[in-house]
Amino acid sequence: MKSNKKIKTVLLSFLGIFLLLFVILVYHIATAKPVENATIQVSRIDFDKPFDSLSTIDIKQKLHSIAGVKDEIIVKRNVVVYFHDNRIADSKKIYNQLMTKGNYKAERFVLPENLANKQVCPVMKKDGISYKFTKLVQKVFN
Amino acid sequence: MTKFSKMALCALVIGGLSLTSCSKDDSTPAPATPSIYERLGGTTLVDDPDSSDPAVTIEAGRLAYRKVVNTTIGLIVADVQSNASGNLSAHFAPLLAEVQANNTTNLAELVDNLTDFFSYNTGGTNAVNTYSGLDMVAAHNPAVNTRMGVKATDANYTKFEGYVGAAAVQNGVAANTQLYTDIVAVLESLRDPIVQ
Repeated sequence: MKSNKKIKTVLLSFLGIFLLLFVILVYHIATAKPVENATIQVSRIDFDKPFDSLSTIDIKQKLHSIAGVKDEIIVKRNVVVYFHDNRIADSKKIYNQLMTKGNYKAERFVLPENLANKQVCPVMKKDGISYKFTKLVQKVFN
Repeated sequence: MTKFSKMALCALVIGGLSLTSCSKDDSTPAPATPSIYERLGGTTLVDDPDSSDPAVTIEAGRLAYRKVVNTTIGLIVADVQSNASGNLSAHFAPLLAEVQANNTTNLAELVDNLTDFFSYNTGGTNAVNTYSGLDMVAAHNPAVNTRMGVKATDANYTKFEGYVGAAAVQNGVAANTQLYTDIVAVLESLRDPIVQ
């Protein structure tokens, strides 16, 4: 009888802790600040010649007129970088629309494979003790 | 002591006290310079130009920072070239590869985190700017933050500062102003924890 009571107490304690952690989790999820503009994408078009001040204004206006393109448009030498909402238009659609607005020779920038597949290499040696220990600690707490 | 000298001493003490009380100790101090956040627009709510919902507003200071952050990223992207030395492609290529594949989550988080960090630490202390990311040392240590492709060098950071400076100018902060100098000072104060 006595041991049954002990088991009951332990189980209730576990249940209490679980409920408390669940409430904390729900609170964190509920109060988490949503990321602003999560569907904003950055894209780039490379032209065959650099822009001067007049053609910069022109290309910015033309890009702005395409639905989904945001305020920030960066023109540097022959390169145009712009931000857009990818729910409204993807980079290919915007590129195609822009090309119909002028006689341009340009290419949609696609990250070269050797950069896109670049290994994210840690400073610490992967076979080193400190790296392995850091990873182990991260695994426990994350 | 003669009666005359006693009176002279008394007059000297009273005169001294009265002059002391007339000193400018109680004058009001010069007004403090407003924070960088305030000078960038502060907490005044304005329409968020990047939101598709016209009802969404944003603090003007936060919007100014977000614009500078976006322009900075845009300038970095404009310089990304395969095998070119001096640009920051080693740090940003993985992020761009994700964006290219229509995964914008990490780009949005980077913009959000940078905007939070700069806003909160320069006077924008409202809850909307609360920074919840890693501290600067951990965020730039590739062993702790695998998003940090490689360790940042002094030259990398100087280049990054240049991008931020150019982005600030493009967004209306003239390079010959105190505001610009103060922004550069904030960036310079972060060099030590970032360059490890």
